[in-house]
Amino acid sequence: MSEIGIGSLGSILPEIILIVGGLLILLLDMIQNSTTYQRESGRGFMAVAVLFLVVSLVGALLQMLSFGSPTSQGPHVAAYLVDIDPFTSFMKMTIYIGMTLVAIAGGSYMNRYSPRMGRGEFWSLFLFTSMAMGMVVSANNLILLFLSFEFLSISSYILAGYLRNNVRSSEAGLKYFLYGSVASSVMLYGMSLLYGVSGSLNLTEIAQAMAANTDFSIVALPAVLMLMVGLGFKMTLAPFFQWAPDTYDGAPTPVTAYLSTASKAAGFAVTARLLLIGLGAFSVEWVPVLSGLAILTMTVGNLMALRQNSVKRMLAYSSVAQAGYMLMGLVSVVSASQAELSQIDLASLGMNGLNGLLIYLFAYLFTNIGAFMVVMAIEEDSGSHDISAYRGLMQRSPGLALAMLIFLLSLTGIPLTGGFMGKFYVFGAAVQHQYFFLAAAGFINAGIAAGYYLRVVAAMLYEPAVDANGAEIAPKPLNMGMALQLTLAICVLVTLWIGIYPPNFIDLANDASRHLLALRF
Amino acid sequence: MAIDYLPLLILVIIAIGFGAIAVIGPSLLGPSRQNKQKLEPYESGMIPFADARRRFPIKYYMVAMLFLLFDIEVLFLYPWAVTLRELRWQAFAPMGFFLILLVFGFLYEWKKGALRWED
Amino acid sequence: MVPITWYLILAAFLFSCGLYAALARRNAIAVLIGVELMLNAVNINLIAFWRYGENVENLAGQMFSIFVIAIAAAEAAVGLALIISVYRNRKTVNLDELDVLQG
Repeated sequence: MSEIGIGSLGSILPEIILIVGGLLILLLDMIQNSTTYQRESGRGFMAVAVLFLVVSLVGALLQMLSFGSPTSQGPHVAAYLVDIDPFTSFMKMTIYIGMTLVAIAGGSYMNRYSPRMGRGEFWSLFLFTSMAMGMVVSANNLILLFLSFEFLSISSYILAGYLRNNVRSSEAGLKYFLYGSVASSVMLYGMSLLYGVSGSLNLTEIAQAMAANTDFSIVALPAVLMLMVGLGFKMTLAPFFQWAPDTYDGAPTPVTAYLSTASKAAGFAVTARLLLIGLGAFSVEWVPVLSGLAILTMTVGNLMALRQNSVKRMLAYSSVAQAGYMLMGLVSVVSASQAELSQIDLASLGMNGLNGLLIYLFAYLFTNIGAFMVVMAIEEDSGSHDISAYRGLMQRSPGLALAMLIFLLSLTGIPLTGGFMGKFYVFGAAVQHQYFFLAAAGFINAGIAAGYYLRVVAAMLYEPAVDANGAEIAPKPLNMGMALQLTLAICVLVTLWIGIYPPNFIDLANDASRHLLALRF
Repeated sequence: MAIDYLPLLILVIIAIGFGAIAVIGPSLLGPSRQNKQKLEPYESGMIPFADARRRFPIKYYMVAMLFLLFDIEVLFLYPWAVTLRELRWQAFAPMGFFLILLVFGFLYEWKKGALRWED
Repeated sequence: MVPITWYLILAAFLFSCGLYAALARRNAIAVLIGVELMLNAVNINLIAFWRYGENVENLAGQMFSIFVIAIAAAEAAVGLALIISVYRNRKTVNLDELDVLQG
């Protein structure tokens, strides 16, 4: 065990910044008197929160730069509890960008609908949630991993049920809590089994102990299954996804936006680290489990999404289906034909599965946050999530309609969008590693998915605007705030940018993925 | 050794047996004449005035919740207190920070009126 | 000494009871109780594994269980708060009646 010193605090600097920011907001909230409480608009809190998120994002980027040029194998800072490497930095960057975008675009929405005197609390919880995500992707010790995983879950329960006078929001929060607490208890039981057989809580030491003694493999399968309950809950994989549509539907839209992107990305990062580093020796056990879950997830998600009339709920099910595609990337890390592919071979492959997962997560983050922000704009205008509220959007607000069009095309996986690059890499890795059934299931599902995405496109572009009774009305323009327009522009630009195969970004993802694979025992 | 626990097992058997005899015996031996006074719940001689299973105001849950949180956090003080002499400042400083955070949380709930009984 | 298997069986039994309560009961409070049972079962597991492990000097398992207790408390507090907010809106905590969101 290394000494605990002030020097090692540098490795969690972005998280410390976020904690300080959250506490500062609580303090600012606390020192007000009862008259200023009543007039509190929340804008000041939002400004502080965005400022601290940007500063911690810069901190995470600086950490990434300290690893040297993108193509070199950077140094690997491992304190006892956290692991700071290119993989961690990539995930932190993704997550903090996502949280910043949600804060900028969704801030005024949350400030408007939050319960009276609860505005400061929302922003401090938002920063704490971001902190927990940054922590969970870097943890390499089961205690810290579980602690930050629960921190993320518990603060997300509160945020999902934040509009406590709203029936839908409080129900969404409670459902999220009930599923989440059961799932994480099961995951914890799996962790205790890992501790029992290996005698250590450190992932690297667990891997060593597991590899040294092959008798332990009987525990590997139950442990993996139990871990996958908790992790699958966070990633919204098929048997554990029932909370997702309800919570995504009922939660405040900005919260939904981050739950379906940043929180999910954190779940995938933890799963990748746990399975590849901690249980890398037992890929024979977990690959069939994961590939089964992947096929089930995408099929169930897509079939349920087909019959939705609420666009928000449709996007919720689509988010479940997307998790299935992403999981394909994680399965494809391990080759099906040659079980004993050496580490060097794996790392030098252009499509090693893990880089596909990272590219997919990054592109999906911008696409889905953008899509949910469009949903939020429509909701504020018409108060409805129904597909009929999207009719005639092209005449009413061409910018918004085109942005939504690009997001939906990206979710479908049309070339020249970020979603295509993600799918290209993930499906490519699946084919390269001869998971043909998996790739085939993915292709069929992508075809089904196009159906419901294009329904929204058709409503936006070709159908006239209607009022609540279905009568045709003259198109009237939509009001949007500056912050929302800015965020949508960023999301559109990044979605298109990743679609044109940016070499620098791909290198970054390659580097991050290779690093984790090189650590594999 | 498991044999060392034999006295404990005997004690448990005697305790259960005594309880069983005390409950079953009177119902077999004694006469059973019931009236209203006998069937009422025993309230230390007071006359019962309401059903015991009534609902508590929600603020009890609130206070119980807050108590639970601060109560549990004290748990971390035990291992800390045991090792403080050995680790000295290295343990003192983080725990100080932790306690500051706790006090901060306490002040926050106080200021927000969560501890106010009448509203 | 009592063999470790006994502790593990006890923990597994407790865990199964908790899981049953969490999955089968329709009352939100009962689910919460089930979750607490499951977490405590894990604590028994952790402590047993620590005590019977090769390296008793390393207190990792004990520390883990202390953190689990703290997390269980935080989770219970947040869960109760959410249950209260649902109760205020709907006057029920029966999970079958929470049907605003479905489809």
